[in-house]
Amino acid sequence: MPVLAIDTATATCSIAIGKDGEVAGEATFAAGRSHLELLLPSIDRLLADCGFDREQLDSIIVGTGPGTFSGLRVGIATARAMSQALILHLAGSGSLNALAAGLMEAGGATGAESLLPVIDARRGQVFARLFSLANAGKPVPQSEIMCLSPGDLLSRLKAERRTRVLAAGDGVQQYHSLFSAASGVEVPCVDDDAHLIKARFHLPPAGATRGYDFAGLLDVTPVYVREPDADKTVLLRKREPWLE
Amino acid sequence: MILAVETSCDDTCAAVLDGDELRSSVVSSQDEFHARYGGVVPEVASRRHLELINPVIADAMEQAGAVAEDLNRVAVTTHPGLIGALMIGVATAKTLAYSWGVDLVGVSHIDGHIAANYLPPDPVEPPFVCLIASGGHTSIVHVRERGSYDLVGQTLDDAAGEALDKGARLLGLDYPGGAELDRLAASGDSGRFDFPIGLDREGNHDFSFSGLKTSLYYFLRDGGAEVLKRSRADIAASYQGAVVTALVSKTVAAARSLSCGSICLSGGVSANSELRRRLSEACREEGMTLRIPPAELCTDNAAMIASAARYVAPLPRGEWLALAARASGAS
Ligand SMILES: [Zn+2]
Repeated sequence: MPVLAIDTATATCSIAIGKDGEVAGEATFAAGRSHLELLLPSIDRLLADCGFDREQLDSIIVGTGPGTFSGLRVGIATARAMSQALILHLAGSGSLNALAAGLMEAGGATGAESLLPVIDARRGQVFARLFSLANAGKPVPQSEIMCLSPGDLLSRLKAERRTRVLAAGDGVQQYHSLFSAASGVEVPCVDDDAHLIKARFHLPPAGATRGYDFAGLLDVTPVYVREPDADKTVLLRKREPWLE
Repeated sequence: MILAVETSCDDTCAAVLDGDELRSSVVSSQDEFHARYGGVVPEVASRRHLELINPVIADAMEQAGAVAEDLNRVAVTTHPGLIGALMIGVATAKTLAYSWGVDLVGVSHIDGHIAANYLPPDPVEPPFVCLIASGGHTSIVHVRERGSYDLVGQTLDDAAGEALDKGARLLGLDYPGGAELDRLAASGDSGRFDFPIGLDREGNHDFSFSGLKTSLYYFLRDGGAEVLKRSRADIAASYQGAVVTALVSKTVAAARSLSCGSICLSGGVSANSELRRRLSEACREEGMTLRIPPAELCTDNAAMIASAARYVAPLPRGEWLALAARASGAS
């Protein structure tokens, strides 16, 4: 039965349809800040291209980030509404994990020891998590999800004496020269496909199906990592001295 | 049957409307979450909407005794409002419509407030002049027929509800302080202090409340803690009186200039007791009729969005699939 995967954690929008452990179709494109406009039409098109009706879907899996807050919310709100309306099982899946799984394919060839997916967190910071390649099937997390400046991230790698780290993601693209210059870190070219999160790496293995449950749907929430910033309220206060 | 979703500010709302019968209207307020910041924080509101939207929709469907097959439309507020908050409602509503294979209607929040007047228990027939006053908007519109109106006047800066909340805060009341200000003002003398009324000119139907707020700030600063302690209720009454005078005089003047004998009220500020008292008094003097929907239809809700959606043609499917939310725009 077909499974729909969605990832909107970054400026890239990616969707895929899997069936019996195979990728039946996928679309990955630059969405900028327009996930809301582009996501649903692209799902509609991909389902049609694959010859599936939305009612045939068996389950949905959505990238939960971390990443841009509003992009994540569009992907998750869409996945939740589809799950609720069509009574489909819904699961969340870490976007850094999907990025690492994509890197794993390339990792074998370059002889990397660990993988470092990096997502741009804006404001001079990145989200990152270290994965080991030890297990042949799936990257295994070796750290918690970090939110820090790229400089601090590289210092941490150095302190831990890590070598042959393969790093990629839009966080690496954003600070490409910094990552390229770091010793022990390998990075793909700035325009390499490996920097993009592809939804097919969220797809579950064949036969992994579960039923719909509403409580499970509510558990699928964005991994924000950062607290909501109350900056806007603060700004309002500054502009309006009488509020002090 | 229409399922409507509204997430333009800090309330997560869903409702089911069946012809003229309101089957359900669920509102999940976020007040408690924003109180500690002293205002609505957009990022907090967006996070909360995502948590609440699916349960609120499930509740609205269940309370209505409705199933997907009963629906022929999903309606959603697309503008104006907080963009991140609106996006949750739009993403959810259009995916529901897509999944169920029904039409989607995008509705303006302002059209929703106007259409609250068409709902039971006391539906109003146009033509009428409607004052929409809340924490987010202050407009006067002339409704010629259901689904069609002209904007007659609007605020050029703060909304009336915002002016009341900010005044309340200056007087030391907790957010959102509008209702508390109303209570405090009830025991005060509204004629004791003079606060300015913005754009107070014949034929001008627009509002301005920022000068009023500033004048209260300087009044309190120059008078010090002493004047505040001695005359808190009188200050509250005088300040609120200035907001209400602007709302009442401009609405009645607009109706008079349009030779329209019927006035309606919508938006959260319609709960203000001074506004209700003074507006009904003014309408009685002018020989106009005043109609105010029940409080739960005046504050933000999805029933009003469902009501407005009856008078909006759905977009072609390809267009609504790609529908976005907009922060601004009246209609
Ligand atoms: Zn409103």
